[in-house]
Amino acid sequence: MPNDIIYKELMLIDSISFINPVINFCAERNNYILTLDSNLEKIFKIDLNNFQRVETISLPQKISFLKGIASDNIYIYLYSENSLFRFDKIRGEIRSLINPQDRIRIADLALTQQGEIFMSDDLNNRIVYINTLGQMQTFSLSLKSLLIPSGIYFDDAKNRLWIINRAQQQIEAYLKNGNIDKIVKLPSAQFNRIFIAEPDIYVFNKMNSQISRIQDQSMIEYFIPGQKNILNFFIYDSLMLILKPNGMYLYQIDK
Amino acid sequence: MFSSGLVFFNLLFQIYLSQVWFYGNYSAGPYKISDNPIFIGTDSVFVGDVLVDREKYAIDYNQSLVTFKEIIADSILVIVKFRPIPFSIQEKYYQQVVVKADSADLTISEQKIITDSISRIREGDLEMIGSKTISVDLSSKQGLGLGQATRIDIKGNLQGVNVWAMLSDAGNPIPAEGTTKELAEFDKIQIKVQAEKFIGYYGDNDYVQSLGNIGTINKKLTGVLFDLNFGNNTTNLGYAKSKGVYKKTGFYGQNNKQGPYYLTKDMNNAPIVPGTENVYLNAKRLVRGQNEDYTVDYASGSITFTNQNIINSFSRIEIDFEYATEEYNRYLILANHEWKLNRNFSMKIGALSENDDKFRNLSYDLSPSDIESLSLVSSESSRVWLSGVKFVGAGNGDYILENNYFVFAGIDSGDYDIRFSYVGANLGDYEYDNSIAGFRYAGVNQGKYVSRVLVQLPEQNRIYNADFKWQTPFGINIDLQGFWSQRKQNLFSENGFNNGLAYNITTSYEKEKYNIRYQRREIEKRFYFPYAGDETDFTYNWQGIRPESLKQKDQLDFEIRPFDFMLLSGGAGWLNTFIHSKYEQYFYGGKFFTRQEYSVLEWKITHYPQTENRYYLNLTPRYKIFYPGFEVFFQDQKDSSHRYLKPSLRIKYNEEIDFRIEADFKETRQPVVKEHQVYKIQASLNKNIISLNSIAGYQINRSDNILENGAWFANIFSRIKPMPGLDITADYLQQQSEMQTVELNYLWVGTGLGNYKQNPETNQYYYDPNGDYVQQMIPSGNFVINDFRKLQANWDFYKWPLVNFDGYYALDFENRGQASLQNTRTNRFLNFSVLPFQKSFSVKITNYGDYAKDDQFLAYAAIRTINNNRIEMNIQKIDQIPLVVSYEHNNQLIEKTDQGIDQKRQDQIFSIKPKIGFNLDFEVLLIYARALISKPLNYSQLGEFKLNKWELAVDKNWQIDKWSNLNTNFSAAFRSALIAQLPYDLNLNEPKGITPQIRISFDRIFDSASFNQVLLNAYYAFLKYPDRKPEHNFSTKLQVNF
Repeated sequence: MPNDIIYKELMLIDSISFINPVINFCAERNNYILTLDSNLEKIFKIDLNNFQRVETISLPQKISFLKGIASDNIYIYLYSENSLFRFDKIRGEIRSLINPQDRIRIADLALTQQGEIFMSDDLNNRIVYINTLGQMQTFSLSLKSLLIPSGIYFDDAKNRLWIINRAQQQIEAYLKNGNIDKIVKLPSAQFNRIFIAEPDIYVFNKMNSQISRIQDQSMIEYFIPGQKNILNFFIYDSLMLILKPNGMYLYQIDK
Repeated sequence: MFSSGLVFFNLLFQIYLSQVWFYGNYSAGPYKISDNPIFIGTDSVFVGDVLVDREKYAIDYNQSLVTFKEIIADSILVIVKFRPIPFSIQEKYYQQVVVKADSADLTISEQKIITDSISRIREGDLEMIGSKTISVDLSSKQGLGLGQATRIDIKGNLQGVNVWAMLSDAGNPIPAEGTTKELAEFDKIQIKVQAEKFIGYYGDNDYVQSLGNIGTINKKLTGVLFDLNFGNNTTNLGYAKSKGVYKKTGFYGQNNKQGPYYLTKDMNNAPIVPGTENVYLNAKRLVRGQNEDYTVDYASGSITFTNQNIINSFSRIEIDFEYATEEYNRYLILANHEWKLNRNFSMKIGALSENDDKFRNLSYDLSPSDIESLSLVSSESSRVWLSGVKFVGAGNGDYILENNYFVFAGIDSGDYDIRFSYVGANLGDYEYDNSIAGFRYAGVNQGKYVSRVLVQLPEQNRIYNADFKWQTPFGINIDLQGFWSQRKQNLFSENGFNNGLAYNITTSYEKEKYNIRYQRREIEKRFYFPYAGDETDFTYNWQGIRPESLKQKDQLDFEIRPFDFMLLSGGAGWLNTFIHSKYEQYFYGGKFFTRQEYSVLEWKITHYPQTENRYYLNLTPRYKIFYPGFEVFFQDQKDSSHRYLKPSLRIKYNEEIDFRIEADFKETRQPVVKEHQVYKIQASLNKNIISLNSIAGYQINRSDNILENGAWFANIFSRIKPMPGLDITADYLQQQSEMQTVELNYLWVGTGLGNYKQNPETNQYYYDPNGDYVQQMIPSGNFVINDFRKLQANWDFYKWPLVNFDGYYALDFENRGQASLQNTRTNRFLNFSVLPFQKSFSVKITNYGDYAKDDQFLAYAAIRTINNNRIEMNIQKIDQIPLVVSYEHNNQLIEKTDQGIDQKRQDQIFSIKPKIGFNLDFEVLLIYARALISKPLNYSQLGEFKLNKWELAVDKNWQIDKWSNLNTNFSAAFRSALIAQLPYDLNLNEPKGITPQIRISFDRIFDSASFNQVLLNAYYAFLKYPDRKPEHNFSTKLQVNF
């Protein structure tokens, strides 16, 4: 568990605002961001170099109560609490991969560059894995401790799966064979999202819209002006992009 | 990954932060804050020392103006902090286009992308990411299986050639003949190669080619396309597999029916190639989407209109689309060349051929004798009935011939194999008989099936075109186009192609204040153009003439703009059809508008000599936030008239609050007076705590002043955040739609090959994944209007740190217009969890409920209710032995509508899952499950009987080293019951007795210098049911990541 907690205020350097509230966003390769509009039928592709929209992608059908979006550059994945859909942009087709009858509750979702899918299923205390052949199974973890997964992230650079385990108040990193590689203790169980930008670990607490960076033995809690209603975030270079329902905000992280 | 962004932002931080102080002047602005432009998003605005949310003001970053949404009083201090651009941006570099505010759009202005994506790629870069997976499965039950998946994502530059490639075929099995795949067999492929004078596209692509005034070719293809550019010459070539066949359909809507409207391909429904449809309603192009104008079911080939446009018998619907090629692969070859002599003269020639692969019918295996008989069919026939009867010899078929009709003799007990086709009630001679699991002769025209097959014939279409464009020095533009089509509808026929010619001449003269245009088109009767034409609503514009009967058309149009606020237009058209009738029309109209088209007055009069006059007026004045509208139309024919009136009022307070009320009155006076009225309210509200988008209204249809029907409609979507930590979303839909009732049929397909079984005692069918029958839903031909309602709500409460409460509720209701035919389904899920504090204890409570009432099939009409409660506790009192204890209670009830309770089942499941630490690291699962079941209708003698199950499982991971992992899992289940024989159809696939199961999985990672990673997985499973042979399954998987 981090010994020190340091508070830092971030400086806003760019922003973009939306009329229709946005549900979530995800990063794509080559400096693009996909945002999921609350009308749930439109996805905006935004160029991070100039914060301009370069494409509007219309979904062929409405999917109720979506909460997340992910992209592996070939397909776009959309998920709600209990459903997962794969959208083929070129063909304009949506395929259902998980439906409510599967009784899976998707707390968070991570993709690998090879097209594998990892999902935190906090209803059944497990990680659900869809392999390259499209077969769904429980991802077997070597660590036999209680698991209530929330945030999940796959680090393609190091091939590690990072999971926030709320039952143990810790972050666990696994190899692709399920072997445990690293454990990082957390001060509480209230973290929902995780982002890895080696060597730093960033976590997000939805309850108080708090984004923190774990570094060595300390934890930096960022103060962001107008901090309420943060939906998601990610880090690139020394910048942090934050999503709120009404806009996207880019901050400088003072390392 | 995002390194290119870094340079930009580092530069940004070298620029100073500027600050401006000023007092308000009792206005919202705009206030000038700098002489230089401002970097987008670098501003922070404080009003009275309070940081203002960006929603409360807008900044024009070019002009450095800030405008507030509310008035700033003259005593209020305003501070604006921002980073100015230290130089002025020259106009030619600043390509900013202001877009009109659109509720579905971003508020920001749209900036043209100056930097083409090609510049993102540096020479020498080639980034390739992907994987190849091969799997081998060996099963004692299902034999050998091979699987593979390929995935490649490439972007980069090689010796001046830019390459983009995406390829994925996840999950496609390896074909028996090998692993070399054709492009079309990949699930998804797209490759683009670009050099200085060459672009090549491979895989899935859209091909669009405008053929001027005659139409546009727009196809979704899988294949290769090349673009070559040499100075003034451009050539494109292509060879591809076409995904669909073009089709156009036009019809009037039906009262009280928003859909589905089936886009029929001849007599049958057909799947539509996704994204190929263009839908027009009263000549206006519609947009796809549940919140837009229509939705499409591509599989069934139907569209349904949303409540944005209420459909009635006055609605002119025109749709062009491509239906999926199901009977032959269709290939397309194209070649085009364009030569631009100079800015004023260009010449284009092109050829395109589409032909079916006649040797491979995908739905019917054509025998040599079939082909011989088809060669005698005319080259102008497109479909033909063939006999479905094949003599295969005694003991090889299922049917025998008796008295000139066929009798089912049993599987492999007859002389003939027969394919039957459904043709509708009293149109065929045979019926499907469930009792024999085969077809039975019913008598001439007494059945629904015939022993014949309707076969589509392979066809070929070619089109050649030439186009000359000349911009004369006198301001006159001349465009000459010639076309030659060749068509053969039956490629088996020895007859030649049907040839047809067409030409198009367009001349125009354009000046700043006026322009005039003349167009002449002439078409030979056999000319065939199977693509989208250039004119929508042709039939309506020309009083019922179909576009295919057009022989010659002359059109003269002009426009005059005498003042900035006025536009006058007019024209005349003359048309000949192939039956030599002559038609003519004259029209004139005009438009007055203020700056930025805030207020518009528009009118048009169309005169068809001696037959009809049409008058149209549209007035849309605007005053501040009020947008009233008044649209009127009158159509006066010899013996009838038609008119409509559409008043509306829109109040747009700002981008967040938008309200509209409108009415639509339509009336036609023929022998029968028909009226249609719609009253509609539309509201859009987007504030921080509430977001609402809704349409609601009422429609009335009258005939001869007698009310035929009236119906409510609504679409309401709302999202409310009444307090931090609580999100509620609700979605309501009410719509009138039509459906065709269907009849259920169960077809025997072989032991274990279907998904339904028949209970030998009751003869009823029940679902079983290893069943012998498949369920068929046969359209009855009877249509009923449906009142469809759907309500969904979802909430998430997370205000308190330790408590989370979320869930959803869904209700679908369909009333099929008859009291006895209605479906209701409600579904709910509640989750309440107290998250761990001090890691020692947490609890999770879930409730799942499902209620389904289905009266569609009287024999199966039933109410099914499921109620499931589960409590789970995580206990970590002993650090090395954490426990998960759960209890689940499940109630299931099936009630037959007219017979009472059919099945009652109550399940109780206790489980305890300790994890053993102390460096042993294994997991134990102990389950006790009890079920109380009764099935009074079919098994009353059994009464209520009990099933018990005990199960013990042990799971252990052996971490051999960092890269190797072995997982072992052993389980044994013991099932018992107090009755000797378990009944059928209870989905009790697992027998009494002890069932052992072993699973072993080995995973190994190889980090490789050549590849990103190689992953190996080997898996073995053993399962032994007491009443079956042991099952062994072995699989291995190798995944190479690069």
